[in-house]
Amino acid sequence: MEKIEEQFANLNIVKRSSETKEPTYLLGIDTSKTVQAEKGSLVAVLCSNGSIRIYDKERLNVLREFRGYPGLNGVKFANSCDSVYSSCTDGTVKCWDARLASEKPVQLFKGYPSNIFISFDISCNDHVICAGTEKVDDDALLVFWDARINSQDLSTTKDPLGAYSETHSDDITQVCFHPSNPNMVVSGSTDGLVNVFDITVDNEEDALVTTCNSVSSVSYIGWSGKDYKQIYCMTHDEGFCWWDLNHLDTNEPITCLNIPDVREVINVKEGILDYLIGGIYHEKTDKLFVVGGTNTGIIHIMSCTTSGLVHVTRLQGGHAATVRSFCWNMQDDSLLTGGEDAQLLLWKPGAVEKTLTKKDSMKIASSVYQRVRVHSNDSYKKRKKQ
Amino acid sequence: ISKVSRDSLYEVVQEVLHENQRKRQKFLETVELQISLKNYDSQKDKRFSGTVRLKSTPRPKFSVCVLGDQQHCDEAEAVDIPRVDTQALRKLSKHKKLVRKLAKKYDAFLASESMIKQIPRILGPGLNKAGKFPSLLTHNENMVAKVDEVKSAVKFQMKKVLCLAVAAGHMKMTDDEPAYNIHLAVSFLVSLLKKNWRNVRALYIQSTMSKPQRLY
Repeated sequence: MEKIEEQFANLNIVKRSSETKEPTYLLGIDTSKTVQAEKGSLVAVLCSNGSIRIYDKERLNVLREFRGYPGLNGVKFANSCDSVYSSCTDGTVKCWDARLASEKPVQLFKGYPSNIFISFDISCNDHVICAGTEKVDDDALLVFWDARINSQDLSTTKDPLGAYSETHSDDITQVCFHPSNPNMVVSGSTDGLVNVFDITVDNEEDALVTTCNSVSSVSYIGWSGKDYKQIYCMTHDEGFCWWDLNHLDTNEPITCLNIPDVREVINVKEGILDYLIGGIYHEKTDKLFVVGGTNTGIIHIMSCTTSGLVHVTRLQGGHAATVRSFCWNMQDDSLLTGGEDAQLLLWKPGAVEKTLTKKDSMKIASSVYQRVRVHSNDSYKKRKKQ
Repeated sequence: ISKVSRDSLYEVVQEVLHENQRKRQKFLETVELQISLKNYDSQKDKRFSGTVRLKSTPRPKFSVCVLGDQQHCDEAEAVDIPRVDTQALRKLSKHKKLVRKLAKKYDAFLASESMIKQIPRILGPGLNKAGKFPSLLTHNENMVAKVDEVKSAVKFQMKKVLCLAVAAGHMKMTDDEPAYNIHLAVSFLVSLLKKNWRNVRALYIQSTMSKPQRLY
């Protein structure tokens, strides 16, 4: 097994978030990109009850919470400061300062009338925000804003620069800017299409570099490969597609891999795969990994090759229900995961102090770790009855 | 384990296909599978959306056009499949109205690898907007089989209301065809749900002009 795969196989739970009063699904995770010596690294988590929680990354305790925003989708830190963004079905993209206790957003990016935002991203140089809408009447839009904070600009509400309206025919579920080129962005929709744009080009038609078709409904998109010239996507019915844009202008096909249903072809030893969550491109080894899981909370990591997906390892003893979000940290090879069991977990490579007791008791009897009672599947029914 | 037995499936299919009191319709009615969910929260649960791959096409009139390279166009001509070659496609370039006309003329498109990556450059976003962007046709697959595959793939998406319908057959089919399609569709859809059958409130089968028959 390669070194990176060994790292994944050796991931163990280092910290569990403490129980909160209101259990919610943890639908999105991002970590701050700034490095601050005295203060700890921050984690922002999107919760299904319409709030963004800011945690300390090492201690996983809640530092502050921005609450009361039903309809939030996605969570992302800026690249050069600790602003955290989320798009909202109320037609705005909101920005909070993760270091301040102030509950109100410090900036609001307003869309056009009747925009319902369900996805967004910010460019790698923090200059542009792009958000995707649900289909309203016959249009599904990609809306763009200038994200820079102008010291002379006293208004905290910004209007759009413009929008693309011709390239998707249904809900735009994913927007992802290129990791190092601020001018490239890729979008994915329930119409199955994955569109790549060069936003320096004036009009939408010419800005569209290529359209890839997953022939399903896109749930996740990402960039991969040396120089990040490849794109991949996952679909809501557990398919996986991988395209190489290096071959756009050659005679070679751009399709590297197209798996309509990963669950049917993946070989998981003594186990099953229920769903896919997302991907991790590991720069140092130029390898793409796909993260998936089971409805009981097991996480599966698979490596991606041109001949298919290969199961690398499973992470268990962590979640007790469907895993919905994760965030991989390249610097220390650590993984944060969030699930429908309301838990936020920090995994790091290396041996754990004490082995966990059997999965269904879920009690960690250790003087080193906090005692945490993990929500089992039954608690879902109890919550439903409330 | 399916909650719908083979016998009850056939019983309902037969009822729908052969109901005696029905007025004969002039058009070919579609047989639909209707699924309604429970214990599912569209605000926070994973979206229920995708493509079901059936065995036989529920829509015989569904037309597919091949946007083909020379080899694919020759093949298409031999099996009488509508096609547009590179030259003809380039003639549509920058003519939005003509692209729209092409999009309206066919229900779906297949395109050769060399063509598919150029579609936005040649045709612009017309096929994107129409929801008819082509699927890939390679030189390793049988064209007729691929066309049948496209005709038998049915998209589904649950929006705000917790029910959706999937075309599963038509009234001129023998019992086996819609029964098998429904079996495939139900297995696939239920497998995508977190709680499988515990997320299913009811299943109905209905032909276009008559009332739904309960399956589950």
